[in-house]
Amino acid sequence: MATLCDASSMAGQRDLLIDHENLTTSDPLARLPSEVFANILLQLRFKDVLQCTKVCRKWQEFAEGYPPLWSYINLRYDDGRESDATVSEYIHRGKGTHLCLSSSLSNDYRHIRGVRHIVALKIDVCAFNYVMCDITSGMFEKLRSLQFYFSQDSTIHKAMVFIIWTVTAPTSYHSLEMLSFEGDSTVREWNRMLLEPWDFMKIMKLFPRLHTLYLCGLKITSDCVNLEAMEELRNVILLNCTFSTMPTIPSTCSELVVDRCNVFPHSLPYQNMELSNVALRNYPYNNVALQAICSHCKWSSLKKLDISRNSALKFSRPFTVAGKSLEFFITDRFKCMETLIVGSTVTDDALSEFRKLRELKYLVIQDAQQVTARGFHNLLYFGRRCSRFGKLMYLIALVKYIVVNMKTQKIMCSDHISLAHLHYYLLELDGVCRVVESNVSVDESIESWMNDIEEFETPEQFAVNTDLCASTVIADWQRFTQPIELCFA
Amino acid sequence: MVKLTSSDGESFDVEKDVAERSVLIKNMIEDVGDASTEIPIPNVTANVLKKVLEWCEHHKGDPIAANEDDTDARKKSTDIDEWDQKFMQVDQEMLFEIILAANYLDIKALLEVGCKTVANMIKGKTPEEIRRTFNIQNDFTPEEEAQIRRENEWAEDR
Repeated sequence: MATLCDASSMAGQRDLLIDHENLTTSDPLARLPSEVFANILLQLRFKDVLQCTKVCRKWQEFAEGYPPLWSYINLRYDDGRESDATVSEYIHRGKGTHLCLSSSLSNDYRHIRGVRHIVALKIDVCAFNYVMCDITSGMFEKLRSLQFYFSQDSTIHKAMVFIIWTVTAPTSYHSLEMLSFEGDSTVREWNRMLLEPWDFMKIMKLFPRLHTLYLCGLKITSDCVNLEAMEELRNVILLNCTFSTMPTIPSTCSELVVDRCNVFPHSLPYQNMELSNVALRNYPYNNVALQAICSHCKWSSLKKLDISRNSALKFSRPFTVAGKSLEFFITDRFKCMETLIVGSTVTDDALSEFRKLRELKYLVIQDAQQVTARGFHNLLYFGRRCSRFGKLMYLIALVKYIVVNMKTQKIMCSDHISLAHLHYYLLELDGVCRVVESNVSVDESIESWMNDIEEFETPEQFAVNTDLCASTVIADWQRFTQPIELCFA
Repeated sequence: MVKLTSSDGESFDVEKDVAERSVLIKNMIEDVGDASTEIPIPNVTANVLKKVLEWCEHHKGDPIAANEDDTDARKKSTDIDEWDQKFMQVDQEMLFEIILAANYLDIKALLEVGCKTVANMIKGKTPEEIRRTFNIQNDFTPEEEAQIRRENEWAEDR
């Protein structure tokens, strides 16, 4: 650094010194890890970020290749208005195709009008009245993904979404593939957002090409949430919802996630041949759902089943139908299953039964922190004994988990299981000798899996298909809306 | 007391709760289970470590920031508390070393202060001023520069 000071005092030699001495050493992009540099850029206002892109090629490349800088446009700045104008121009210049509009101090959203190139939009309904109107009048003709969330629990705002849609009768959204309503998942049942049945189905008709439907924290008291006619629908994710009956889903549906809903499982689509991923969790009517699986579900293509956190399986007594265990039915019916997620109360007998699943690659034990040392030992033993069981065996709990990747020989665990404890068991396990990381968060673990596990088709699919999405939304959106957490993972 | 050894072999005796501002060191102490063992810090030199420990000492009483989701990262201004500002009045090389050390040692609050300090060095500057600040060579061709200027002139005077 002394050289820089010297340089300024010797103006004549300054250029020379800059060129040769300090050229690369002071460039923060060259000097710091990229996630740290990204963090620096995220501290800047939008306008300053724009200036950064003009510094040099490397800065330009870096900033432009870092979506959170451009997609997560929060209009709340200290000097809101001038930024609004900048942002507005920016949006209109067609660079940001993903836009997240969160609450703002300013009320001027008119600059969003006329924007036609946005393909993905996430809106805090409680903040954006104008935008709502514009959307409903069909502004965003290229929109593929639309996500509503509610920053506060406001019944008026919730109702508004539906009223505008149903009253103004907008044109159809032929390009929309993903629709998500993300109410507050912590809202208790009686406070859930109430939707008139005809409203809901009327809205659904606006999206003939809908591929993914994500509903969280809604209350639809109708006997006719009938999605059967929506032939493009592939993924139905229902969390924390109250229905009077299970919505019917089209027979082409490939994913069905039902978590913390009240739905009567007797309306499960028994004969669905396309279904590859099913998650039935947190049922109050748990027995019925599991009985359905045992008795007449013919999902021949099922690759993934999640029955963790099911209150019928909470107690260590076996769940049986006609003298046969649930595990028997699972292994008997779903022969091509690759991923099975069960609760931590899974018994040794059940584990041996699962050995019959010849295609099984991943066994996930949810809430692994409840697995006793003995249970854990059994599981490792099981993983080793059964070579077919695959390269990877891992335990997941929402925060507390162990991941054993047999292929890369990496082990990750949360801090809730002491390393010493883990080491002891690792000695038992051939070939695995390294503890890579402790104290990694769940987000980081997802990232690592994505890197490590090529068996998962795409990262998106991974995130959408696992129950881990229960607390989030679609992976795509996470990336755009939570720059800090995710990009640094 | 915990004994830390820098990459160049210098030892530092620090109080446990000062050292444990660093998540990395905290974990190491827990793993070893014996606070009296010497802990090597192979990536940090003595002069940087000294500086980092000075920061930890001053902030030892601070509540450790929870790992809460802070999706509204942008709204956080680049304000830095006065002591930290003074603390960060170091040459650029040292500043980057501190950031790297904070990153390595996993001291979130210090990393944050470092990033904000660098952000403040960028804030409100023109590209040329930024280049001068960090001794970065402008590798755009004149044509490209003209192009960039044209594309962005709408943002200039706002």
